[in-house]
Amino acid sequence: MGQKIVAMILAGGKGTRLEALTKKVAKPAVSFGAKYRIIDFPLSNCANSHIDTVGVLMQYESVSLDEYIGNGEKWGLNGVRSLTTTLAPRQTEEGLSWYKGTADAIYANIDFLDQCDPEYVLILSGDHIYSTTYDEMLEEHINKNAECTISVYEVPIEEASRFGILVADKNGKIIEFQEKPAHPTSNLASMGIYIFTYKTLRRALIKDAQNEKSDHDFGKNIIPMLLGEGKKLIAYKYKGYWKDVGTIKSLHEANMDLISDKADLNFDAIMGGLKIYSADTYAPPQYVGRNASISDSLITQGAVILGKVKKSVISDYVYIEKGATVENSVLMPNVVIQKNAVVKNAVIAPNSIVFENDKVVGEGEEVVLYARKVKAHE
Amino acid sequence: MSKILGIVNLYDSPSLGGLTKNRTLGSTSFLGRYALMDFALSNFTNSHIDEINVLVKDNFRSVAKHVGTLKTWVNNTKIGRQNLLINEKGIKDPKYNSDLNALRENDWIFYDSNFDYVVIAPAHILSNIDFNEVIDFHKKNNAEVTIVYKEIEDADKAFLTSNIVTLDGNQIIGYTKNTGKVAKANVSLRTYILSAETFVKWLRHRDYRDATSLRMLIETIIEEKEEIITGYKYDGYARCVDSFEHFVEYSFEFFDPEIADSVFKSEWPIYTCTRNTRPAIYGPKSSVKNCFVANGAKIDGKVENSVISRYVEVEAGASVKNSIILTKGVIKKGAHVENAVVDKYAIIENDVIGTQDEHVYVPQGKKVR
Repeated sequence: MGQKIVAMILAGGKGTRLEALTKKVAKPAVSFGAKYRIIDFPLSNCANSHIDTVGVLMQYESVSLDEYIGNGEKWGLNGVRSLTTTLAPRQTEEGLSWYKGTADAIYANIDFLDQCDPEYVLILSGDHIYSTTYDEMLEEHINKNAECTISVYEVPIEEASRFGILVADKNGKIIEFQEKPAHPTSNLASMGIYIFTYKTLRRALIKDAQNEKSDHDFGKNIIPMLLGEGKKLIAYKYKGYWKDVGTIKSLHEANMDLISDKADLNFDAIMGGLKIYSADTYAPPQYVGRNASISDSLITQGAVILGKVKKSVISDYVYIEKGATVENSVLMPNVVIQKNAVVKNAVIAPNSIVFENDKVVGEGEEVVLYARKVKAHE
Repeated sequence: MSKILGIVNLYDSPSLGGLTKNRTLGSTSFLGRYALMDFALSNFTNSHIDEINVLVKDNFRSVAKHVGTLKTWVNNTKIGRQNLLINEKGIKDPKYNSDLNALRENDWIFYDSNFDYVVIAPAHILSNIDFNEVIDFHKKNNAEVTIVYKEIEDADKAFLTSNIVTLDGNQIIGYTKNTGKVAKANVSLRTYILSAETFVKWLRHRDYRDATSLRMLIETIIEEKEEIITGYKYDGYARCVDSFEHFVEYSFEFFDPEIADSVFKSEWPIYTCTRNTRPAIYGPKSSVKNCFVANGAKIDGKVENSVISRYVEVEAGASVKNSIILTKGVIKKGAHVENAVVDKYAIIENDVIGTQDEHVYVPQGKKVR
């Protein structure tokens, strides 16, 4: 008997808008929330949903991401009934080709899916921050006898034109798809999370692959195609915290959400009673110095805080020297803030040094990204 | 490459009062994140020892909970192996329950493994010994046993449960219990390197039947002066956690960066079992000075000169000073804790105050109203 459900995580994107953070690493491997990486979220969600088989599709800077995913052990996805595999573009009899789009990435690995022989396939994105299980979504997919269920998020209508928008009837059946519509008629944004009945998906992928005009993208091509064929597509309304961290600003904002003082928006609320799993660095416990001051912050092991920290997220092995001030900022692993430096409204890339007396400050609403290991004049 | 069998010895460890009532000293929490035995286990791992064993005396549940399958400390699970060695007979008959008997009961490890050397290290003596260097020394001297020792200036106060080593060159000619009469002395770290063949021979030797503990066996053999027993001088960090007072003192001395840096070295990680604990959360009213804080903690009160373990909660309006709070302890609003060791799951709603010389101990799960 085949698998009930297989998850395929799309983690091949470069994440150009994250600038220096993704210069050497794939976007899903970017550090988040002091001790996590972005891809820990969908992988932990799979684990917490008892999904045993996970394929991670990668393309940009795949080596370090591949190394991080390993055999899935960090998320417990290496048990006797489990399989975690990374799927990078490969050379075949037909030659070598890069993944041309999200749908093409799955199509290129149709042999893997055939081998798993699943009833359902869950398509996930590797760059979303949300903690959940997919149990309810799958249940709805099965109960409503859908061929594809799309997870949707209610956005303010005035922002709807930035998203792929789905129009659904009162039973949740999708009747129309609008890609970044100028005049949206619904506020249900597609989250890029799909459950397909595998038979439907398989047929659709093969058909799409033969269409030379297609961009081989789920949102742009596969979903409109299935709608056009009159298939039953269902919108599943996602409740709870969810954030696409595609830009420095949104990455900073999602980190700040973890330490927000609102009752419905803080670390525990975002995790929703579930655990996110990650790598362990075997760092010593964090040390807070005699002259330090810390408030409203999230700090992980290995950090040494001798200065002042306010409303910030501090990762492994960060060293904040005496007299330094860090406020409203995200410090990624191995960052050093030297004596009397000031960091405010900033994201500091891994391994960076902010030098003595230097200032890295975003003015007003602006968030600056800082990635530097040598002094400016050197 | 020589094949080495590592054994962490949980026997023969002193009592720390209430702290070790329901757990072995080796699985007692240290610095909010470790168990004391992590140091000995990690020394094996970092010295590339593939086969790692834990010789368990009692409180098997608490040991098993911490080490699990020992996978944390084994590098390659195919060429390496890990065992919990339990003296089943000894658990039923405490008089019989000694480390030497436990090794005799578990002599199958010697049949099963084709190894050249055995390294035996106690769980309660903290160090970062590189055993490769000790084994090289052992080989060079053609020794039957090598004992690791350290020269200290305060043997009248520390290592009181250990032995004093008397040397003639490298050869150990005396191995007597530390009575605390001299300050400057070479104290044994109770860490033994034995050539496998010799060790197995001794375990089964008729003449040594009367020896009830490993320490007694070593003392007897040194007295006989027939074997080459060498002393390896170790100069690094070493502490013997042999009393409640020392447990407190050795925890707090890590606030000194010189001590912390001598132990936490990037090339010599201390491995421990981890449970995917979230980072520590500091609330709007938190004030934390000179503290070790473990992941999982939530602090919104005032904390000074203290060790805060996993999932400890210090509420706003609570204060903690010069104290060690173990896993999941809760310090409620308005409570003040000073000079105390608060064991796991305790809930503190009222003041708990000891003195700098005498820390109070709050037992596991206790509710202080």
